[in-house]
Amino acid sequence: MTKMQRKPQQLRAVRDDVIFIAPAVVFFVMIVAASFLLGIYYSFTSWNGVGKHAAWIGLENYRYLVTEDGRALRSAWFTIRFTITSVIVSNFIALLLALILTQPIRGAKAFRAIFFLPNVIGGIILGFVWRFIFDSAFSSLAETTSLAFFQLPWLGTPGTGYWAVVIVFVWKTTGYLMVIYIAAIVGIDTQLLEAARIDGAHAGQILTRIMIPLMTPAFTVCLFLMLSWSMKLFDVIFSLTKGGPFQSTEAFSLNIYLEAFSFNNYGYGSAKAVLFFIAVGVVTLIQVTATKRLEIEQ
Amino acid sequence: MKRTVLVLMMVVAVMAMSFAGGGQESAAEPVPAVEESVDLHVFHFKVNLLNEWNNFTGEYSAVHPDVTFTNEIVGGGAQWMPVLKSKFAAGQGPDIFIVEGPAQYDVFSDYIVPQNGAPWIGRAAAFAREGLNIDGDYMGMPVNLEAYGYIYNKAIFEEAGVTQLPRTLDELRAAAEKIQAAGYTPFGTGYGEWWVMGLHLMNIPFARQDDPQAFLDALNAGEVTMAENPQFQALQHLIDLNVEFGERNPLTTNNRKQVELFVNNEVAMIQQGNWKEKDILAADANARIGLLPMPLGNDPAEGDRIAVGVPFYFVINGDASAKTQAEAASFLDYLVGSETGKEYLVQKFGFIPAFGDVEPVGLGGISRDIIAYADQDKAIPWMFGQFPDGMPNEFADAIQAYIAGQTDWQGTLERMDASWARLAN
Repeated sequence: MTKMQRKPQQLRAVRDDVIFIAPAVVFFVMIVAASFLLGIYYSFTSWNGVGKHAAWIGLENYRYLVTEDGRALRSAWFTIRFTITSVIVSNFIALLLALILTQPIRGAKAFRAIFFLPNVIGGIILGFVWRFIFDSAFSSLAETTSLAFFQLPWLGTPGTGYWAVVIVFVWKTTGYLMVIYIAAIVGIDTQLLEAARIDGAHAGQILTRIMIPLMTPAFTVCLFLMLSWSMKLFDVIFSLTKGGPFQSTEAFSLNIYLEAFSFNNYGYGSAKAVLFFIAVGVVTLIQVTATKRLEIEQ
Repeated sequence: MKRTVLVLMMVVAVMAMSFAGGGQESAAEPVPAVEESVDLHVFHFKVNLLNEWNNFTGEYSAVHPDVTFTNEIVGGGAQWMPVLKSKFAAGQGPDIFIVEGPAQYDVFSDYIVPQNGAPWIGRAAAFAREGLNIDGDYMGMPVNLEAYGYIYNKAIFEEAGVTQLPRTLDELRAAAEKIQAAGYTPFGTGYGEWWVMGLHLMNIPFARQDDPQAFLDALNAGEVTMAENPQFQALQHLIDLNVEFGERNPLTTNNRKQVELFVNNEVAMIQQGNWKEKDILAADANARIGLLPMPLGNDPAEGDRIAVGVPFYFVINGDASAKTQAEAASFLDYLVGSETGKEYLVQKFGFIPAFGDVEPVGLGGISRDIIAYADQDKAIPWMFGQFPDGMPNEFADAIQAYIAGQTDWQGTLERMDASWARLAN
């Protein structure tokens, strides 16, 4: 085929590609990219969210956030603590469930579906359902069983409120991570495992020396997902505790929402959102690069 | 060529389908003003009056066939402020909407036009009319009065032997002790709901100043603090009383749970207002209820006052066409001036009218108590319409921290002062 004949074909291929991705690109630019750029613009203003004029104030919002806003820093600290806790707890439980449900147990497939189900329920509804459970269901259980576990004021104190949010969020996400881990476990070459068993390795050694290293791609994905979900979590906290009691469970995302829409400081809220985007991006980038280095090619 | 056409058609079809899904129902879109017909887009938050309001606008349309209505009512559990703001952001600001007071007026001031010269101005009760008087212009029309205090269950009071209604802190404590001895929980505190604390409870020390407006202005100017003010210091005892004689886990009780506890006869008193009367009577039409004041001290003359105010004002959107604005103004006047409007106000909406020429007939026990207090000039004002944006939530958080034992009362007041200074600028 000569060069002259190849060019129209290549052009046609490119043009077809463009036509296929055009709708997605249009929506992405309109909805995601444009809003993002507008948000960055607003972060340099003192707009109240609804007025007709947005006064330019430069870096004042950023300066205030870093130096004076105690409440924002407290909510950032809550997000950090919450992220570390949920990432560890949910990945641990998900791995455990995946190991158990890949054994030849009766009904393992059904249990996989059952554990995945909470992930399908929307976060806001989940928050309301669990709020009912913590407030009303637990208090009636407390009256009938008088177990200390049910008598705690679950959503009423900072300590128990923190664990309430962790419980609900871990309950929601563990199923999803479990499915990823199951796929990774099932994808391990059984010949390797058999060879190890013949060589006399016991279950613990097989788990730690063979299975887990081969599952590192799954860890990369699960850690990344859980990190970015936990850092950005908004809907569960909004419907479960609304940041209460007295701001003790206020995550940074909720703080941004309140700043922009309750305090009518849309410009300042946008500045917080921009910094938050950078923080989440940096953390997840570091995590993915680090765990990718550990991956072993099968 | 055929393949390209096919691909293009598929792309267009996909895009068309995605545009069709998720669009707003046509009922919510304002119809552009055609020759003789105007479509008024009304937005407010009295969601428990949805059916009655739609009936009312239907009757107006029957009398004025060239006016149709798009009513949008968002409230209760849903947040109406973000919805209203996003409507403006989308360029679909309603023609008639509401603000709760001067602080919210500031947020939307770019859109609101004065209603000077409207017929209702001459007929409104003085303090209601002046509520949204900004630099001499009347920017919003009041419709009703609301008041709050302790809604009490008369049956439980009688059973517990409380014969004299408490007017002071000590009398309230004595009543609570009797009620507890009779086997009921005296208070359904509602300290899990931000506006119970942040708007209504915190309003009491503001309203009980000798000159509430002067105090608020001085607080904004930084000349006085709440921490040094005797009324704010006295508020501690009322909160302590509520928590001591209140339901278990007060920090998780929201306004719905309060009503639930009340209609189930588990608590004798809840801190709420006459807007809850409909809900209570809907659950038990024979409930005998009244309203008690919220005292800060032991002076009966001072304690026997109920906080009465205007909950919202109807405002007109200046971005609407001149014809629409004129129609909006005449609709608002119909609401409070015509016979149909007055009948709806009192009997169908259950409002206490803010106009002297509207007869309050057929209202429930709470409303009758309120009118009695107002007639005897025993009312204190609502100052929370002037709290800075975000301050009510700060108040609520500070009070909850105090109840949980994280700070003492003086520290709580100092925290409130710091928040006020930050948010008032």
